[in-house]
This record gives sequence, structure tokens and C-alpha cells, in this order.
Amino acid sequence: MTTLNPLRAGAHLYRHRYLIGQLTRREVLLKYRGSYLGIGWSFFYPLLLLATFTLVFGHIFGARWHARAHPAIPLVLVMYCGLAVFNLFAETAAAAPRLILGYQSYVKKIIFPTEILPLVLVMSSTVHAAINFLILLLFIAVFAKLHLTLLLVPLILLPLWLFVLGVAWLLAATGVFVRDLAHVMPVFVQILMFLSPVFYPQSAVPASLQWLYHMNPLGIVIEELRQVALWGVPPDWIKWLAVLAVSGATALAGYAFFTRSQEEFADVL
Amino acid sequence: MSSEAVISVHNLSKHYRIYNHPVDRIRQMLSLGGKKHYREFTALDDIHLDIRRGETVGIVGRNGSGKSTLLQLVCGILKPTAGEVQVNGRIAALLELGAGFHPEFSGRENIYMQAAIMNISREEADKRLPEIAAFADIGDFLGQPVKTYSSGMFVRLAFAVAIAMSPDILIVDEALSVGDALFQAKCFAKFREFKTQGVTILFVTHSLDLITSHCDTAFMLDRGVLAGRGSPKEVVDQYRRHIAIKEESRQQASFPTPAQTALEWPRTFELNPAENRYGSGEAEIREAGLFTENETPSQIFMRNAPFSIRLHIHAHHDVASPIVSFVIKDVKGTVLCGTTTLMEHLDLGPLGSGKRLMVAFRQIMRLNPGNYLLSVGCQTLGEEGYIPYDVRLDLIAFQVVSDGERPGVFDPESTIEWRHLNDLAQREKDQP
Repeated sequence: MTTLNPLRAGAHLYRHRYLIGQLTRREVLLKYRGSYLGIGWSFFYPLLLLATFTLVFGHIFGARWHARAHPAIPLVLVMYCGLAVFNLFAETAAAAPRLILGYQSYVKKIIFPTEILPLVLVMSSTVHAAINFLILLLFIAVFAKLHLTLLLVPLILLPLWLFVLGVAWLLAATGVFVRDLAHVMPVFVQILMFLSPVFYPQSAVPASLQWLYHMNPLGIVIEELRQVALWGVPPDWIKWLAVLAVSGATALAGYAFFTRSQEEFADVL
Repeated sequence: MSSEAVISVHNLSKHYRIYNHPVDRIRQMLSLGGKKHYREFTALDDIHLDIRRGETVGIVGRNGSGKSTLLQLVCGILKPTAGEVQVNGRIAALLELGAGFHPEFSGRENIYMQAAIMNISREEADKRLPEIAAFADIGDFLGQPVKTYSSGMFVRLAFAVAIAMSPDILIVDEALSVGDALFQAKCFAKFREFKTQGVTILFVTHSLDLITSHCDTAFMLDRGVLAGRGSPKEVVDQYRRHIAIKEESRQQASFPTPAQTALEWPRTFELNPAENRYGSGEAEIREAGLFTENETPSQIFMRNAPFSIRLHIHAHHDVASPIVSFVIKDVKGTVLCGTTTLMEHLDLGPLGSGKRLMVAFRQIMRLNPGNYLLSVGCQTLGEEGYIPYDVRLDLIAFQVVSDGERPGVFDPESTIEWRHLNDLAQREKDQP
């Protein structure tokens, strides 16, 4: 069960760090190659989204956030926290099932460690997410207050990142065998977005459904992020540890499943 | 330690499950033993190989004989169904032209990516870049996206990169055939250099001449089974016999009749389905074939060995003095050589309706290695020129192999005389 040893898995991936870096760079560059704004799109997209939110939720719906204790926080920022977290997951989960298919010649025709491909996908999504978080920081500085707890944000995001990575390994491997997954995932991601506290706080969920929200790592991370980044409240460390454990297990399980099934890839593709 | 095995393959088998329908795959996963929802296809069956350090090894076999599968297994890309593959050393593999290259990125960017895949750092790649650029010799195209490359440029770059990665084992699947002759020569010069450095080279090719002129050992695969191994010449000879005799006749216990006396040899040769045939049909070329010195039908010949071309002609009408001819062309259609019974001042006499005629042209194969096409004809000379009875253009393709390189179309079979002249000049000077 060598694949279930997190140290060994980590060391193995670390050995390929240069290749992972190169591939990530390529993926990020490729996304915008040929467009006039280039990487600028990574900035414009969230800005446009923020503007739209302000219009729709702030002025048309006139929605009110239930956290009345913090009236100084503009609603868009609260939503943006949710979206920044969810986008990292959504971008990865939607692309993962097709990932190996897109690298077919790497699987069949060259000697290549395919297990790093999902990691590359998550890394390139992370680059975009980092830009999102940078914008969030900027807006917090302008429209709200910078709390010291902001320094905890990377720690809060660590479980999210591990969870997304695990999901990427699982979906990428499964997608090779079950092609339908590529069609199912975008729909599933949409559904999950509405089932996660992205556009509403978890406290708005009826008590009878709360249990569902305690099972969703994305929702927990979103709520924690809001606490730390906007409200300036330290996180619930017990909860954080629990999510970290679940995410870590997901990552390991994903890695183990991927390395177990990757031997069959070349036969199936 | 030149005798250590760098690649050893034991009991290696590879089976594929073929599902008629994707649903069958899921059914198979769900069924606990019992019914099979797939057909089994054996790509390789119980292969044993040992390849020593510094050896250059060629693999021959028909399409679908499992050559590429074997290479993929050695590279570790495929997982064996049974048996094991042990490889000691770093492999650089060229299994498919341009695999791993990204079309949107420039040649230079792709070089760095390939280096990264081979676990070579940027600094190291920087050092090797001039060498790669020099070997690929594609000039300014190195800065262009590889999607703008011709296949020739592609193979140059791919090779240059693979070679510069200082592999212990180089594996090449057919890729070389795309390059032009000069580049091929450059590659083989590099291979020889590699050999002195102890690099093991394993390659698959349809061009048998590459095997006989560059390999130390050769293997032949036939339908997934290792059907031959040994010196390149032996294996090529074996392969030649093997492909000269087509499937159907091979399944009969032995070659039908002694070729010397056989008048017909149906389905013995692989005929060109796209032959260009015309003529009045008054006489018909029923059979045509190529034979080695010992009368074995073959489509592969050794350079400078005797061979014969034989034709059987059936007359359907009375024909007066038929003229029989052959012509050999290269694959570009250039006529290289040939003759006719008329040019050789032979009169074959009148041929009555229903009568048959055998003509054999005997000569030495002077042509250099390559692929050639044989055309044959039976005509007569009328008042206004040749009147074709039956002309079959590009009827049979054949290959020539050799054990030594020569430039150009044919081997002039030079005998070379030489001596150092310095001593002679000195002696003349000494004499008063």
C-alpha cells in the first residue's frame, strides 16, 4: 500500500516539481494565448462578475445578508468570498474528467508520469484563484476593513486545496473509463453551487437541512473564509481540523485510486 | 561490462479485451466472474528477450505483429498482462512523430518541455540547446510554433531532442522513415557514436536495409510470437521468406510445388491491387513472379545476388512472335532498368491459341536498397509500333536490402586499388 503513504506520495510529486511547474506555466499561458488581453482576462472576469453582482443583488434584489452584526460589509464581498472558493473547485471539477483524454499522446506515446496531470490542472486553477483572492483583498482594503486574521486565509484554504486535488485525481481517473462523466460534471457543479452557501449564508438554511451543509467541505471553507477575511473572527479550529482530515483523506484516496487505475489508461484510450 | 542486460523481458504477454459495446465494459465490471462480455485479443504471447548494453537491435514484422506493443511495454507505457520487463537505464523513446509536442508552442519552448519530461533542468537544457539546434538544423523555424512545421522538420526536431537527452536506451518506432536520406545518414552516424558510448538502441522498421546495415541483432515478430532471432542477415532472410509467401499458401503444409517446374503459383506474391493493366487480351500474362537464386519466390532481394523474373503467358488466339518484357521502376516512377526479348534479339516464335509460354529473365540485382516496382508486358510489333496483348504496370513491389551503404541508384561494384605514393616519390628522388 505504498500509494497510501502520504510522505511517499508527496516525495514522488516533489521529484517532478520542475515538470509540474513547466506544465502549469504552459497551461496558464495557453489559456490566453492569442487573446489581446492575455492574462488580463483573469483580472477582468472577476471584476465583471463583481460589478454584475452589485447590480443584481445590491440594487435589483436588494438582498439583505442575515449577518446583521456586520452591517459595514458590502454584500458583494460576502458573495465574492463564496465564489472565489467555489470557482477553484468548479474549474477543476469541470475539466478533470476530460483531462487525460486531452493528454492522450502523453499516455500512449511517451514515457510520462500521468499522475501529475491532475496536480497541474489544480495548479493552473490555483493561479486563477490566486488572482481572484488578490482582487478580494483589494476590495476588502477599499470597501471594508483589513483584519489581522486575514493572515490565516492561506491556512483556511489549505483543506480546500487538498479536497480539490483529491477530487481532480478521482474525476480524472474515472473520466477515462466513464466518458459520460464529462457531461455530468458541469451540471453537477451547477447544482452544487446552489447547494453551497455561495450566494447565501449557511445560517439562512433551515435547521432541518443543516446536516447536509455540515457534510460539504466547500460550504465549511466558504463560511470560515468569511469569518476570517471579512468579519475578523478567528476560525473554529476543531471544524478546521475536521475538514483538513477529510480533505487530506480525499487527496490520498484520489491519488491512490489514480495510480491504481493509471496502468489501464493506455489500454482504454 | 558490455555483456550486462539492459533490457530483459521474460514470459511477456499482452492481451487486450475487446468490447463490442461500451456497455459491455460496465457489464464486465459488474459481473462477478462467470460470463465474459469481451473477446480476447493476444497482441504478444510469451516473449523472451535479453538486450545487452551497447547493442543495436532491430525488430521486424508485418503490420499488427506486435512490434509497437512490445516497444510500448519496454517503455513502461503499457502494463503487461503477464510476465515482466526489466529496464536498467534511462529511456528516450520516439514512438510517434511529435508525440508530446504542443502545436501552439515554438520549437524552442517544446525543447524545454521535452527536457522537463525527461527530468532535465532548465540550466541543463540551456546547455544542450545549441547541440539540439545544430542537429535539427531547421534554422529560424526553431522560434516558430511547431504547427507550422513540415513532417520532415518535425522528425528532425524530435530526433535532435531525443538524442540530446543523453539516454542509456534509445527506442525508435518507424519515425526515421519520415526523414530525408541525408538526415537518416546523420542519425545513423549518431547511432554509431552512441554505440561506442554504450547506448543501447532498439528500433522497429519496415526498411530491412536499415536492419542489415546497422544492427547487431534482430528479432522477428509474427502475430505476437517471437518467430526469429539472430544475426540481422539471418533474420532478414527469414522475414523475406516469411513475407514472400502469402498467408494462404503458408497455411498449406509447404510451398506448393518446386518452383523450378511450377507453371503457376497463384496467390504466392503480394500483387499490387492498383496495377495498371491494358492490352487486347489475345495473349494473357497469367502469372508473374520474382525468384531468388535457388528458385524461392521472394519480394525481398539481397543486392548483388542473382535473381530471376518469370512469366507465364497463355495465348487465347494465335499470336505471331510475341515480345516479352520487364521494367523496374522506383517508387517515384522513374524507369531504372529492364529489357525485352526483342532487344535481346530473341524470336519466341508463333504461339498457337491455347498454347502456353514460359519466359525467365535471369540477372544480378544491382540496385541499391530501396523499394521498387516490377512491370511486365507481352506485346507484338505491328506496322505502326507495339501492339499490347497484355501489359501489367507496377504489378509487384519488391525490396532490396544490402549489408553496406552505397550512394545513388546502383552499386558500381567497384574494385579498389591503392597504395601510398610517398615512398615511391622518395625513392625516385633518391635515385640519381
